[in-house]
Amino acid sequence: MSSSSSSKMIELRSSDGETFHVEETVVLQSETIKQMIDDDCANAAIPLPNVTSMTLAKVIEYIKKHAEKPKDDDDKKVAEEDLKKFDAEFVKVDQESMLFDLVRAANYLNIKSLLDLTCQAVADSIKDLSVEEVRKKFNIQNDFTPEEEAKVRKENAWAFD
Amino acid sequence: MGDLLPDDIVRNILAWLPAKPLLRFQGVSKYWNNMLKEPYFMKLRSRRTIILPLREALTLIDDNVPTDDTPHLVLKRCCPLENLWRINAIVWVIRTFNGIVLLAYRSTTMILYNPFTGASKKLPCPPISCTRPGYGFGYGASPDDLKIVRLKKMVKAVAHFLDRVNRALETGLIGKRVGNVLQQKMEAVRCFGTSIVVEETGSTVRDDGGDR
Repeated sequence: MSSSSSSKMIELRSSDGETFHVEETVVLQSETIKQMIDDDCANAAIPLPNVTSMTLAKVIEYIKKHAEKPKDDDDKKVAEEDLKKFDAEFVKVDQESMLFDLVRAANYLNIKSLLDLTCQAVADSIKDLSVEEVRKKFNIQNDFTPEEEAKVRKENAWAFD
Repeated sequence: MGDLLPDDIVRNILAWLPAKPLLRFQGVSKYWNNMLKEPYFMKLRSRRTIILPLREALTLIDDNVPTDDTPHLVLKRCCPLENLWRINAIVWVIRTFNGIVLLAYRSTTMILYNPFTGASKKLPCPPISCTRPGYGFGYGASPDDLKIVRLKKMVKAVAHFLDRVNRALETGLIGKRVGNVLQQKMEAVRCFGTSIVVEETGSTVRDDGGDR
């Protein structure tokens, strides 16, 4: 972070009561928080009741990285490559539940690039799964009758190979 | 983990999937089944390149799936010639146009086929073929008209000649004046030629699938 910047600091409070101080310019990537600041609701700490401190720390790591501005054009290319690598590493989380938490947080905070990144990572993690595994992961009840399910399977039989 | 994810998030996630799991997951629940049949997801799939290999026609190959490790995804749609495949008939893919495929079986049966929707339409018998005709698609008089035209070899030959004149001009092999005269002459021949050698197969296909 550049210390020369005299950007205003915004205080965020996670669901479990931990506070985080982030520069306003960084936090503006969240449309939700931007709206709050625009509406002048950000004088005290902004409560984020849907985001745990663990998830919020990750989100802040992401938006901080994405707020870095390259100095010149040469730097820009390097920075883009660097950012790609960062993104790829960022979604390699130890626990898969963390990925879902990040998806929810990105959605709630309305950070489009993070939402796309994490949704893509989830898609990548489920693309080879069976129907049963997907149901389990998304906690979906199978509401097909056995006959209906057999029919769907038959229609798309090649996709079950 | 993914308990009670809002709808738009689920959609965002599924939108990143390649065609194969997208189809497979129609079997997850009724809700997903309906969702994945929405035009939005169909469209996502139709953006991909589809190849119809001659030997295994009607097995579509989706070869533009960035997130998949396998180079090709074979995508089988309901096929207008299912019965013919079983008896080992040879079916030719004559031409494709905007995702519509023109198939021919023996020299008497031609079928228009839309692999995405699975819709197909048997064309009225084409006239007895002249020597090795080529077929092409052309727009009809109204925007939703699609015409199938039969081209005789001559068109190709003329176009080929014109190409050569153009190339000769570019490389300075012939002078500009000579080139222009040749071009004009050939252009005239081509227009004239086209108007006589292009025959319609007698069928105009509209979006509603009805005959003219």
